[in-house]
Amino acid sequence: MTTLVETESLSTPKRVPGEPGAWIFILGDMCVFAVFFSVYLVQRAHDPELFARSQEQLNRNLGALNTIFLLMSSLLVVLAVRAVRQDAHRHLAPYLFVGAIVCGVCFVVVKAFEYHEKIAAGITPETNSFFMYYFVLTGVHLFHLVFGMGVLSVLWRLAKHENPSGLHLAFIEGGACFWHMVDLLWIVLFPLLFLVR
Amino acid sequence: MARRIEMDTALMKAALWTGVALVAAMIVSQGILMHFIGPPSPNLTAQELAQKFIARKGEIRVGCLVMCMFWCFWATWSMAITIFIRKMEKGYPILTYCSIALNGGGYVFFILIPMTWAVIAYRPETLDPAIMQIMNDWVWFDYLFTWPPFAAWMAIIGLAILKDHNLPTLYPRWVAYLNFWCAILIFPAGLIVFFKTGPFAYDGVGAFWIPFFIFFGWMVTMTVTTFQAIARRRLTLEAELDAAIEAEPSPSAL
Repeated sequence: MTTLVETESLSTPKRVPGEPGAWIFILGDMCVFAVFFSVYLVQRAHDPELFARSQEQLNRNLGALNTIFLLMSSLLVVLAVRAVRQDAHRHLAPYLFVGAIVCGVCFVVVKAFEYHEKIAAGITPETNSFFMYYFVLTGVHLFHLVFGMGVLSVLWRLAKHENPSGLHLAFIEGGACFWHMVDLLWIVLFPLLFLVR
Repeated sequence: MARRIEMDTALMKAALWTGVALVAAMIVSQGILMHFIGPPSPNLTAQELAQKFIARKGEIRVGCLVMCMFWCFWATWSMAITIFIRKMEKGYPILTYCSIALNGGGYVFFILIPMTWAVIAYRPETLDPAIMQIMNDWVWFDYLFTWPPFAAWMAIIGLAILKDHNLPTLYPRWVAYLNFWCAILIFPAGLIVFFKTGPFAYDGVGAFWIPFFIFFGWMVTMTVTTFQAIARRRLTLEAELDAAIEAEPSPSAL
């Protein structure tokens, strides 16, 4: 989603978005989530009936609402990164990052409401293995999201500089890629937990 | 040359080697002697667990002694990195002080692990299995549930590298991102409190194996990158020293 810094792409044609080092973090994280998702799918294959029955008790509307919040936040981050690169629009970038953070906060609020709904109905991680995965996977994702909001607030501060350095631009791109990863993980997690039959 | 660079590279490298010794001793003691890589299932009955300790009490005692000796090296190893954090910071070294505090605290958890196992193996035949079970749980909680100071330290290393004012920087920047990644991914170790079976119980893939490999893999990576940082720093300091000597007026000119 985030493209190259144009000025630097001229000298180094094979450049990746952000700092190459940031991709150790992003790809490494995705590998571990891939392990979690595989473990979940294997467990699900052992008892498809229980998983299907438990899945019925999830609130799909809240899951869908959160998907919309994250997609919106990613869009705002894309626009913010574009704005930072253009002198004429740079002043908009901090507002766009704040908008993305607000979407993140909305996600957390909806998630808290969703967890509360489950716990009030007597559903906990110990109810059965489906809900164990539901709470752990969404919880680990939530932890990433909160960390990601910390990253976005750093980007917000960097975006306020009038003349960001090349390193600042690279950091902003890398941070934006991290946020897109948090979004991407949810895009996989949402159907996996809420929708797949 | 009469004058020498101010960094004692031999001592710095020795401190790093203590970390290598720590990992090697962990494999020998916890793995080969004690058979505790991975952990016994939290789902074992107290009697089954007691049998494990009675059957291997000799090996466990020796293993605990080895572990206790080598795990004190956590402090020496971590300070080799902390000293570089100091060099990456300027006049108000908050990250350095956080690093020292977190490692001083984290170090106690390390030593308590073999100490508690040694107490269990001290008189396993007469120890009430129910108490033994709780003590054994306690060790694994000490091992895994104490992840936050270590994760916080990883994040601090990452921050220090990203904010490094040296040119060239002491560590390559990817090391910062690696530290952030590790800091996030040892987090599932905190989930053991909720489960007695499955991937997030203290013998599970998510709660034990992933944090275990990430943590000790991270130790090895930090050791290698710090060795490289020492080598680069040495070259920089030597070049600076040579330049300073050349800049001085020669004795004949006086």
